[in-house]
Amino acid sequence: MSESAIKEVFISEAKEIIEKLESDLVQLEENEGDQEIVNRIFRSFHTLKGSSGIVGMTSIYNFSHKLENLLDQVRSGEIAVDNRLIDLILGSIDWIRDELFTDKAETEESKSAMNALQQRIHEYTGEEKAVEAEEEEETSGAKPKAGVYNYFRIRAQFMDDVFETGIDPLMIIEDLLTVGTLLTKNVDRDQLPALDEMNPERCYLSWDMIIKTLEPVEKINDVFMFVKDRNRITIEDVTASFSKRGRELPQEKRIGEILLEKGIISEAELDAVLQYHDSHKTKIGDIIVKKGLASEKDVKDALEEQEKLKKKIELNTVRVDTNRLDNILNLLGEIVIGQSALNRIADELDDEKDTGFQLKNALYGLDRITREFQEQIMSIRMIPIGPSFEQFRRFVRDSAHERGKDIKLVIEGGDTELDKTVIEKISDPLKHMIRNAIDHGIELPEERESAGKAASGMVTLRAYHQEGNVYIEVADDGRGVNLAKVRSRAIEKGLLKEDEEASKDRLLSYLFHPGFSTADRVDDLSGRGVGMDVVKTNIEELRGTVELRSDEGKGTTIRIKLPLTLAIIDGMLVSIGRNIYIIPLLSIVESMQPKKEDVKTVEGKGEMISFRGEYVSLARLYDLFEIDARHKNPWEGLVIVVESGNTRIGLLVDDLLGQQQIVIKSLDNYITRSRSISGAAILGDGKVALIVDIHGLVEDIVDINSAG
Amino acid sequence: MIKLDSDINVKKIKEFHSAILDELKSSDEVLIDFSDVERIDLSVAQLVIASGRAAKAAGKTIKLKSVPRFVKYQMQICGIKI
Repeated sequence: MSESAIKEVFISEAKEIIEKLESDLVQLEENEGDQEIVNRIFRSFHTLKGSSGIVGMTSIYNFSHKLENLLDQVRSGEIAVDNRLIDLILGSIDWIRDELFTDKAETEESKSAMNALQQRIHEYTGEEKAVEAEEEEETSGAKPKAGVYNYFRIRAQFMDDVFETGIDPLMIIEDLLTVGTLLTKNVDRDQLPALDEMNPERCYLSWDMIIKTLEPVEKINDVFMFVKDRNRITIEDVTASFSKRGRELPQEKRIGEILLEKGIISEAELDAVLQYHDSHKTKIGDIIVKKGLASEKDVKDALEEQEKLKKKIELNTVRVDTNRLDNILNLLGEIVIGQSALNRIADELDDEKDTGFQLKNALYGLDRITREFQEQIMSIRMIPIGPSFEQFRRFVRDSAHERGKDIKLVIEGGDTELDKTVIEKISDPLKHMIRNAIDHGIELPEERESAGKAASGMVTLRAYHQEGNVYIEVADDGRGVNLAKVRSRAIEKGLLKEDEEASKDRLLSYLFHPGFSTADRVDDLSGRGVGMDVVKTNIEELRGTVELRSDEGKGTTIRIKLPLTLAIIDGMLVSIGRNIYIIPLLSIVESMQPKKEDVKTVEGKGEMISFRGEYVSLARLYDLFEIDARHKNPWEGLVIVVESGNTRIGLLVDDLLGQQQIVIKSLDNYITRSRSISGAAILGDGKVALIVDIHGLVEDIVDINSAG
Repeated sequence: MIKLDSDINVKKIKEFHSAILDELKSSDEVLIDFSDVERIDLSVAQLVIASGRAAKAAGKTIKLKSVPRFVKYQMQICGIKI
C-alpha cells in the first residue's frame, strides 16, 4: 500500500471514529456513570492516536494522546463526567476534524485553538499529573486492568524499505505496548550491517515478543492494520501456555471479565465465583446470579456483549470502494442485456429441434444464477442505517442547547439495512426534518411543563422494513402542527380561498409547498420557508415518498418510504409508437382499456377518465414526449393508472410489453434533465428504453392542468 | 559533538550517518547530544546501535548526552541499554 493510500484509509477510518465519538459522548452526557461508554470513547481516542501516528500526523497523535490520558482518568473515576467535560471533548473533536478535513490544518489559528484546548485538558488532568502518567506509561506500558489476561506472541519483521511508505516500525511497537504489558522481548539486530556498510534509510531490526493484555486479539490486529499486507507480522495466542484459567475456562471467563469491567462485580467476587465454578462445574453466569452479585439482565447483557465480541473477532472484512461495486453491477447489467439477446434468438429457434430446447434450458439456468449474482452484489451495498442516525446525536444536543431546550434523541431500528447510496442521500433531508422538530416541534421546557409534559422533549429516529420498502420516521413529542396557522398562511399565499373547506391532510400537504413556512422568524436553525419542499424533492429523487402526520399538542411524525436500492427496479415495459418506456411497478395501480364514455374533459382540469368511481387526469405520453403513437384515442390504446403520493393519473400508452428487472443507467450527462424521466435501461435487443419518473410526471401534469 | 535536531528521523538520517562516520574518524570519543530531541524513529535507533558497535570495534567511545526519558524508553524498545 502506498503512503497516500494508507493516508486515505486513515482519513476514512478517522471520519468513522469521529462520528462514533460524537455519538458516544452525547450518550455519555445522558448516562454519566456508564463505564462501557467511557471505555468505548477511550478506545476510540486510542485508535485515533495509533493510526494518526502511523501516517505521521504528529499533531493529532500528540493531541489524541492527551485526550486518551484525560479519558483514562475519567475511566478510573478521578474525573467526573459533566457538561463542561463533554463540551471540552466535543470541542477537541472539532479541532481534530478541522485538522483532518479543512484547510485550517497546521495554521496559526489551529495551533492557538489546540493550545487553548490543551490548557483546558490540563486543568482537568493537572499538568504534573499528566507528566507522571506519561512516565509511568514509559516504564510499564499500558496500565493493566483487573481481570483475566490474554497472552500473545508477536513476531514483527518489517520490509527493509518500510520507511519509504512513511511508516516507522518503532511507532507501531510503541503503540503495541499501549495495548498490553511487555513480558519478554527479543530484538533481532543480527541483520544490522556495520556502520560504514549500512544504508541508514533501510530497516534492519525485527522483534519477537510476548505481551500480556486484557484486550482481545483484534486490538493487536488493529495495531498492525496498515502494515500487515507488506510485512511479516505474526500474532499467536499463547494464553493457554501462560494462564491456567485461560486453558480451563476459555468461554466463561469472559462473562466474569465483562461484568468486572462494567463494575458490576469486584475482582474478589469474581475470584470467589471462579473457585466455586471449579468445584461445582456450574455456569459462571448462573453462579453470579445465584449469589446475587448481578441481575439476570446484567448477565444476559454480558452474554450478548460476549457474542458481539466473538462475532467481531470472527469478522473478516475488506474495504471496497463503492464505485467498484457499481462497476460490477454495471457489468452485470451488460450480461443481463446479452442474456436477453440470447433469449430472443432462442425464442426464434424451433423448439422441436434439440438445440432450441437445450439453449432455452441453459439460458433459464443462467438467468437464475445471474439474478442470484445481482442479489448478492446488491446485498454488499446494503449497510445498516444506525451509524448514519448516530451522527445526529451531537447535532440534536448542540441545536437544542442553542435553543435553550432539553431534547433527547432516541434511535430505533438502527440495524435496518439499505443501499449505501440511499443512506448517503438521505442524510441532508433527515437533518432538515430533525432541525424542524427541534426548532418548531419541541417546546421550551417551561411550556412543556405547563402543558403537563416532561420538561425534556424527545426526537425519535426510527427505521424499519415493510413490504419490500424501507420506512424512516422522524417523530417528535412536541406541540404538533398548528393547523389554524397553516390555514391562514395558505390563504395568505393564495393556495386556499377564505371560505374554502380544507381537510387536515390537505392543510398538512401545504407544508411541502415551496416557500411555505409557519415560522415566525428566520434564523440559523430553520424557518426560512425553504425546507420541506426541498426534503420532498430530495426524497422523490430517490424514488421515495414522504408523508406527515401531526396531532396538535402531541407531536409530529414525518414518514419517508424508500426503495431498498436505487440501482435496480422492477419495471413494466410499455410501447408508444416505436418507442419503449419503463414504468416502475411500484407506482402502478392498475391498467385498463377505458370506454369512450369514460373519457371526459373537465374545465380547468383537462382530460379525465373514470376509474373505479373517481375521475383521474389523463396524460397522453406521446404528446408529452413529442413522439408518434399508434393509438391516439384512449379507448383504443391502454391506460395505466399510476400513483404518486395522494395523486393518481392515467397514462395513455399503445401496449404493455411485460415486466422486467431493470438495471438503471444514469442519464446525467447525456440528455437535458427532464422531470418526467429518471434514467434509462438497455434492453435485450440493444434498444434504449427511458424510465418514466412518476413523481416528476405527476407534478408536471398537475402544474400544466392548474395553469390551464 | 553531534547535536541532533528536535525532529531527527529517517528524513535526516543520511546527514546524521555521515556526521558519525566523520566524527569516528577524527575523534576517540563521539558525543551525541539529544537534548532537543522529542522522539526518534527506528532509523535513529539503528544508527545508534551500529555506531556503538563501530566505536567498540575501533576501541573508541560513543556517548549519548541529555537523552530525554521518552527517547530512552524508545531506545529500550529497540534493545539499547541506556
